[in-house]
Amino acid sequence: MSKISLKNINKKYPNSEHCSVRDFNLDIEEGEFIVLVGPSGCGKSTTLRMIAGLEDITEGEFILDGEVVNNVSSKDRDIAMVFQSYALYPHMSVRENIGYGLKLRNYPSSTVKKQVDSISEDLFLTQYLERKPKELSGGQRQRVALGRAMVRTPKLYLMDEPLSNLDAKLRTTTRTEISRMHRNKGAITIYVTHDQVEAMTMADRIVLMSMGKIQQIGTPKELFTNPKNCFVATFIGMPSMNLIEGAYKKGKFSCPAFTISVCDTDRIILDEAGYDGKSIFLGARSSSIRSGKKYEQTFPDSCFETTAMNVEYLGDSVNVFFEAAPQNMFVGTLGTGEREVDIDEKITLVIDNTKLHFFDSETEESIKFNATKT
Amino acid sequence: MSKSKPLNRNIITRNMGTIMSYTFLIVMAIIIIYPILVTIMSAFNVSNSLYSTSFFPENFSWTENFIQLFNNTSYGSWYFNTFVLSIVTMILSTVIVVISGFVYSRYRYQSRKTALMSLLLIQIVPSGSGLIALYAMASSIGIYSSENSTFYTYIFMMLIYTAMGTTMNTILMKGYYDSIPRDLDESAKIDGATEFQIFTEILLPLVKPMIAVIAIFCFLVPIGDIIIPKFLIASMSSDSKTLAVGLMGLINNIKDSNYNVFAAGAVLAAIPPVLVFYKFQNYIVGGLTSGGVKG
Repeated sequence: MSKISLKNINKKYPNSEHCSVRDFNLDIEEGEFIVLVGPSGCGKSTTLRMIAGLEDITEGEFILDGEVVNNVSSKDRDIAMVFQSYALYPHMSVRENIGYGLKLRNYPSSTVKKQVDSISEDLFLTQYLERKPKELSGGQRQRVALGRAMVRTPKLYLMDEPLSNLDAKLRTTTRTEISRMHRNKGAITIYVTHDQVEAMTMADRIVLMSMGKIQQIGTPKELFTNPKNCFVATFIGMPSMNLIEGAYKKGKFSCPAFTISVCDTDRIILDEAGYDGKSIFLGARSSSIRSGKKYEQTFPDSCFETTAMNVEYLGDSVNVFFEAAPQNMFVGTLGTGEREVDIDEKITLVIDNTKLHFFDSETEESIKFNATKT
Repeated sequence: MSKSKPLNRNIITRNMGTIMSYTFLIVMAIIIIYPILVTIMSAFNVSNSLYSTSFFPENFSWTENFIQLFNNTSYGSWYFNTFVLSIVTMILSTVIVVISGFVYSRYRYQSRKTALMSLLLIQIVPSGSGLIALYAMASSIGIYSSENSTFYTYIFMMLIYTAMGTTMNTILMKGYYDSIPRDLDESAKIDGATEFQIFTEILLPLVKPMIAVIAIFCFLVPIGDIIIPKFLIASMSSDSKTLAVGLMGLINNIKDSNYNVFAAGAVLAAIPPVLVFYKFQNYIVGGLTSGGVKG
């Protein structure tokens, strides 16, 4: 079992002025499934490639099992990696592809055969073993790429957006497959994706990055319920969190569309932090914007009337879009059995004021996050 | 009835592209095949003058011209000289090109751009312009004063052809290596391959088509070239000539040229390249057209 720590990692490409990755610190415990997530160009793939040894680390230390391995070549780091493009060797059959890593490590050919057979049974590839990669479908290629990594038992698995070339349905099943394999193998897995759904569903801990910097590290639940700043809040969750700037005064938050009172615990935090009479960002997940008598009775201080600008029917829920301020659409997710609504209809909505998020209007840092931490 | 007319026109316009390209191909084929046919036909025609030769042989004979070719000239030696020269050149330049293309494509070092640019610049200078320099070089290292001057001249020519073959082909080869995603190298690296294993086990099998193309290019150059051997081979003996020079000698002189014997020699000389092309035609088409290797 292994442990990894990354200390003050910086990456600067030779002909760029800015660092692609800045001050990256992360300790990974044995057996953890870490997901690096962020928008494109945020440095997550670069970080992964540095861990793989495919890119030099400009500054900082990468410690694997207590040893600094900055200058150890990737073939000696004992890692396995799944590439976004799968990177299957086109001239080798599926069997040779999966067994190549074992062959290079001088395993006897009988062992290689046995291992390849067992992994390909797991991945339903047995009947394709003698085919070339170009004769396989996208999903099958993906499984070969997974098999090639899984056939060995390295210290850590690295995955660089392995699901991004699959269709939606296959993505869900392969996701389960990867989680299952991770549990079986129990080795550290570092998974890069730009899809927050993948991050939420698979990760033990998520590392959310933006512009080369870590925004927040935490379990999916922590990131969802207690985002550190506006970026984390809007990145995690679907549809993304509604944000609006407004004035906070004496326990009431007001913006053009509505004025609501915040709940008592939030009020204490906000008042103590000295935000009374200041302008702050309010964040509300669509799931905490509801409608119906039941909610109106529970949260009588946070009801308001608005006009539905657009309605999306999703089967077991309905997304209602309304304008919280000019150019700022809010979305609320109404469950079935709540009021049905048509476009351009007036509707009374309720905000569940126990689940609100507040952010400083200048730093965009969460006010509650810092208050609960200190 | 009224509907069928525009439909008909539609078929023609829709297939216009096919019709045009076939017309073009047929015209090109005639232009290319006609001279080859003329050569082949005259190889079997026993006659003394090109002008009296008709397209279909008048005095047909399967063997007469070929017998004359082998009895009256040193055709066997020319053949041997040329193909040894060609094959060695081919092997040398292919090995160099395969390695240099790999290095240019996969490694980043300081003089890389300059080196690539100079390879391109060298192409600008016509190879003929260096003839005098080549001769001076050959003579200054003592090739012509040595006992076995023909042998050394051939070695000298091998080096020249190899050098000529490596410049442009290195750029071609580099381009082909570039089309192989680097993900493959990286994946092999993580699988535990050394740099050498990445080269031999992953990349070499994938660039095979381009190797075939380049090998053929290099193979053909010494067969077709006449300037360098004519200039450099000092020996007066007929045995020391290459095919091109030897055959040229047959028709050089208006008085005793024998065009039909020449044609017979040309037909024989064409056989090895044709065979090589035939053998590797799949590779050649693949090497020239396919760019990307999809994983």
